Amino acid sequence: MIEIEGITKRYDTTTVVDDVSMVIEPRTIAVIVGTSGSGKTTLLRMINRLVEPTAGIIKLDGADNRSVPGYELRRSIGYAIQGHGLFPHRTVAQNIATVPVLLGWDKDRINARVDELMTLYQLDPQAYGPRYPHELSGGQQQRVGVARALAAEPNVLLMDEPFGALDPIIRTKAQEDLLAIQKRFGTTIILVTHDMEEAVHMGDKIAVMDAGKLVQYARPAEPAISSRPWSAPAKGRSGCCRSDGCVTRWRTAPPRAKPSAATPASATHWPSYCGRAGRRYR
Amino acid sequence: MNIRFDKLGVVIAAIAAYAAFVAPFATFRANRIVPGQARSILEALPTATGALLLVIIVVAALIALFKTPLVLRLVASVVALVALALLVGVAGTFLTPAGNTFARISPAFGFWILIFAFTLLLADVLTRLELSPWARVGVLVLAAAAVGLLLVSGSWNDLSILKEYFNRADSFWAEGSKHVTLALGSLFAAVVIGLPLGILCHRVEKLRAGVLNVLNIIQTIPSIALFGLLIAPLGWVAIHVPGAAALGIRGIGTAPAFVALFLYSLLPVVANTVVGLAGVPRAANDAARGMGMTDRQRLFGVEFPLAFPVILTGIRIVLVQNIGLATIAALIGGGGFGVFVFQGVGQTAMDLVLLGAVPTVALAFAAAIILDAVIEMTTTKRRAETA
Ligand SMILES: Nc1ncnc2c1ncn2[C@@H]1O[C@H](COP(=O)(O)OP(=O)(O)OP(=O)(O)O)[C@@H](O)[C@H]1O
Ligand SMILES: [Mg+2]
Repeated sequence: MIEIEGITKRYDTTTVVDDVSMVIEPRTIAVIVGTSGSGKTTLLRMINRLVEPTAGIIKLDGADNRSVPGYELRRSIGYAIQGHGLFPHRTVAQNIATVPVLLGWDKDRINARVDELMTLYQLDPQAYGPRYPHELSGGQQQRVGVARALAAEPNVLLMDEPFGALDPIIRTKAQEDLLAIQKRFGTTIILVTHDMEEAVHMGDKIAVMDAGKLVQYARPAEPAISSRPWSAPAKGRSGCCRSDGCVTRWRTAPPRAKPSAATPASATHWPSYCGRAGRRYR
Repeated sequence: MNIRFDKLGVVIAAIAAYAAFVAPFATFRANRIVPGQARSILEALPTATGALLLVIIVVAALIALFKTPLVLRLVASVVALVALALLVGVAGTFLTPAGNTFARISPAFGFWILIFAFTLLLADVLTRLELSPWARVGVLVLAAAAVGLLLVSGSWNDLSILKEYFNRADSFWAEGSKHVTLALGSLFAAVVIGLPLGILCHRVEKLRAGVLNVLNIIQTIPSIALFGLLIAPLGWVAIHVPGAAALGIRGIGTAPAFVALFLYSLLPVVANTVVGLAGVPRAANDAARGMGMTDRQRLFGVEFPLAFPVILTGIRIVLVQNIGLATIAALIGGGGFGVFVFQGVGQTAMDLVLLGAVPTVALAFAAAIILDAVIEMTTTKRRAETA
């Protein structure tokens, strides 16, 4: 279980994550959506303490995430970095083996694990294992990035737009695989995406962020989410989603304010998200 | 037939033509310090041999001049260089009057620029062949072996530079090893101190500008001035610090030379370390932290390997620079090949100057080739930084 309590991150005077509270139940997937720059990555990186919060607490299974050294914490949390972040000087196999090596697994176990993951992500270990990242396609690099995050079988997995560069078919496959892994190992996953289909398909709950605030956190089936309020146009802006009726629906079923924080209704028209998420990958 | 010229070949052919027909091939002197008399190729060699050399030069120059296959150019340059190397020795023997031990025969201007021209051709061919780093080192070893063979075979024994060598064989090797020790030792010290300093500068931004500026200023002090500046403080240390004198620390001699070379070496090492570390892709650093590496593991596992080619470039600069600069050390009694250079200058004996200068240049050249190859080997694997 991940409990985020009143987390805030400020750089100088700009607040990039603003008093966010949410609970991710164990063995569930929480999907974060939101406009570019809304603070999704920053929120994610505060969970594994790549970013230290200005205020607030994050608890993992009840324990403050500051109770262990940062590096130890990060070894126990899988992290698929936005844009893959592979080590250019290490082979694909070495990249995937990073965390197991840090954890001191023995060689055979590491090799077996690397082969298993590469096979799962349809990269022939013999052919691709010895290659360097720059010898792979963007989609292959991304899969290696995800495999690296999964390598040490973490209980908690943070994934920052992990499937963005994949074609629809491999993407669907990767999503199914991730769901299967999640079911099998009971992993708790936080996944950032811009693809609403993916969010609805993968998420037990969907969090919507805007300008650093968590404006919505609910099950996809709940009215607010299913009416897709995040695709409503900003007030005064020409709406790109009017045609599918979301504006009307939004009016009839106004989004629920965040449970705890008293967010004024006027501040909750998750703007400018329409084009990108709602339509992009249809 | 469509005749096309090779751009570089035109230059090479022009130089070769001038050197072969206008410039002197060898210099004859009655003894080691009198002014010399120029000898052309035909005068310096037995007629048939001289004619043969001219033919080889002309043919090789023509091959260079036109667009010809690379292999042919390779053969031409190697044959020309070997012929020149062999026949300059023959000229030495031919021009020395029988039984005369005072006469000095040395390669003259024409010989040197012929060597230059065909080395240029060879270098061009080797570049175009895109040899692997190992192959380049292999070529270097081959060339060194060939020169070694010529030296051992005695075919150059009648040349003035070797006569100077025979008069000083013992001190030649002693000064040579001092030279190498000085150059490598100061490099080693600079790496031992400069790498951590560079890492520190990278991590602590406030230090960076200050340290680099100070090192920059040191770099601009002329070497002789720096030697001079060091005499007083080191002399003081020798007198006042117990045991310092026993370690060989004195105001003049090897110590100030070593310290000066070390100071000159610091800037390239520190600066390249800083630049190399700064050039490590942010994403890689980020991933390292995100995967749970400690600062140390990140430094040695990610930052360092990625910055390594740039750091090596700094080390290459330092090594080549030190091999050259170590010559100056002789001025303050630091030893090295510079001893012969300055003695030669003092006695106006050019041969003695060459005895110091030629090995210095050869060492610097070899160091550059070897380190370039090492740099390339460490870079190719990790070429492109991926998006
Ligand atoms: N180190 C930093 N210093 C200052 N501002 C930062 C820093 N890191 C992020 N920000 C700012 O914080 C805001 C949120 O960034 P973040 O990366 O969390 O956005 P995001 O929601 O992940 O966006 P995207 O969808 O484009 O990945 C941005 O406006 C960004 O410019
Ligand atoms: Mg992001």
